[in-house]
Amino acid sequence: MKPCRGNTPRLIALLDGSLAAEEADRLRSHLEGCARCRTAYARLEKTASLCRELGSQPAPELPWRKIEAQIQWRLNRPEREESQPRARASSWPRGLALAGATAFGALAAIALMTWLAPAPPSPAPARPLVRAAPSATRAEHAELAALVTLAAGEVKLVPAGGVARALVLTRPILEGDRLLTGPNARVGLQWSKGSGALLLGDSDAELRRLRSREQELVLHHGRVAAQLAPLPPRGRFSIVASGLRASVRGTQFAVALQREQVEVEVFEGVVEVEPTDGRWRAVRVPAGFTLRADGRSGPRPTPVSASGAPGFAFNLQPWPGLFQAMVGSGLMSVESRPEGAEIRFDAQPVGTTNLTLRGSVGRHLVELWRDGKLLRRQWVEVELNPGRIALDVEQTRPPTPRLPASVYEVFRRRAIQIQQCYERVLKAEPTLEGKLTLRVTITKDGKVEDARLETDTLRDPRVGQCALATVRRWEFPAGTSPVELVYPLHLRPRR
Amino acid sequence: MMKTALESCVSQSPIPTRELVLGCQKGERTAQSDFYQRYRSEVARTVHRVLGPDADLEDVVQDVFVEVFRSIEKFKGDSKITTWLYRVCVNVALQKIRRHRRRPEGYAVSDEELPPHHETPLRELERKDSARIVYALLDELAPKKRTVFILHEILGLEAKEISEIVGANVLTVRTRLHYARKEFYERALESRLHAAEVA
Repeated sequence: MKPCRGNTPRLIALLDGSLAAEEADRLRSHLEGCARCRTAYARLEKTASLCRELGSQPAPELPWRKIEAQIQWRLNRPEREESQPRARASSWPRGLALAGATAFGALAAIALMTWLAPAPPSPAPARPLVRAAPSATRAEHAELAALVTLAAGEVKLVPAGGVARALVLTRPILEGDRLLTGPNARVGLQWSKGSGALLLGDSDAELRRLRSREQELVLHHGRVAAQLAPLPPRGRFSIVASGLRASVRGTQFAVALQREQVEVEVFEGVVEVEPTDGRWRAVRVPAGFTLRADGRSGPRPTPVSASGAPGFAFNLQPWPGLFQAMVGSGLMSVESRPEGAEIRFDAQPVGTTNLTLRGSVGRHLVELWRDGKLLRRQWVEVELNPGRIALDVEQTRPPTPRLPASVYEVFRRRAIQIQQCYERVLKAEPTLEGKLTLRVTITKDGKVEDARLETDTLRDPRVGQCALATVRRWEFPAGTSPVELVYPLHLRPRR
Repeated sequence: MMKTALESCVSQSPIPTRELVLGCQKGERTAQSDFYQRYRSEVARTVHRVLGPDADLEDVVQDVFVEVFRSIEKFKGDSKITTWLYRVCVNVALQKIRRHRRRPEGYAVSDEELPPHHETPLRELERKDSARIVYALLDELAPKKRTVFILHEILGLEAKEISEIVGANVLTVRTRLHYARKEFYERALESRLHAAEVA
């Protein structure tokens, strides 16, 4: 039902009060006698009321934590566009070439391992974190991102076309990113369910391709290990180093590189190794064998028996998708003094201290082991914000046996003799004051075997000498074993 | 003028807005987090009102905050932070509308993802249905007219405030609003919005 001809704009103006008073009165009079206009005006009022009601609706509840994580991820993502040409090694800052040719001359090794696990196909990562290629085969070429699963020591990241900076562990690693590790450093990555890599110390590697069906890691220097879940049909993971390509679709193997000599050690399954220039046909290296070859020249190699080196700890996470893995986990730094204690995280060996680990949010059991002995065991709470636990291994040595009370009693009763040593010297030096710490070793039959001064801050050595001579004369109750005690004394004149 | 929800939100917060903004301008992670926590509901509400019930709010809220943190260093304090935030919300939403018009597929989010309201299911259904019709009508307006209409008719902002948000003078805003209202209400009279009543 439409209002009278030409009245709609006037009714709308009446609704918001913009109609002149006189005209508004005339229109209101008209409304009283015109059912069509009255109905139309009622509908307009209802619509306006509906709009206001929409404005008063409460804010929708959203997964705020997830959104915040996505925002932070996007803010930390390197500022590069798809169209931006990606600089390669030639554009690196000179200082970051990690010693360049010299580095190649040094001992270098790659290790690559894959596990053929009967895992279901990995789910597609969360939408905002996967940039799909605009082609019909976008699923095959969806760009992945990797999460840092563990890190130790100095690790630098060179984004494609960017400059080196310290690795931010909460930032995903993207295709084209290059990682450099310092001595004894390492960094673990994961990009899909059951698949990841571990870059070891003094290494330099680039994630040249990180797609759902194809991942390629170029090792410029150092050592890298990888673990892979079975890839989909036509999928391939490969490590390229010094003119050789080691490719797998789901096996376990290791490769070593020394002065352009590549060594491939296979732990499980079969690995195909071929030169990138095709000068010899691919060699299949089975489990338990190692292949050594010159990356740039040399004849087709033959596999030999492997050394049987132990595997690597990747600390791979449950993987419902990159985003879910990211927001469902946190980082925990595990430290000890001295460093080098083996860490077991929920009973799984993950490396040695000091190490930052990724773990799912919640309680985890951290154990420190050294030489096969458990030093410390502690429950820790992993939260979204990075946490830290310092487990002082030195303090975890068995405590010295508690001293018998009778030994202390002798000290307490006879301390007056040491006081007299002090007071004798004090007569000559009225301002003399300081601290004496005695370390006394007592045999099990109560004799003083040794007495030494740990500290002596008094200006006059006579007090300390007198105190030692006095203590050496003391006799203690016999015990079951020799004891050693440290006895501090603060000596100052009475005021 | 009555305080907007955004301003009420600010006044209850213990950290002064100025410090928060400064922290965000320095790129401090904690300041960004506090800023996000303080304004997220209002940003979501604003975006929700501008885009309607079928918008992919998660993505748009993300876009708004990413834009906020990337451009907050340009905020000189000439206007209230809330006004500036509205402006970012509106601009991001406008981009979304324009993109949506070019590529409407894949835009909608299922109702199941929207949070439940404390209403009877029937009333909730009617409300959603009406809201959809309103936003369908708004979709027919030019983006700029749509924006001023929503800011005025739905968010209840005055022309002066709208002019600061959209970066146009007050007269322009009033003109846009006049034509937006005319177009919208004329279409509303003929829409399904009152179909049940007619039946």
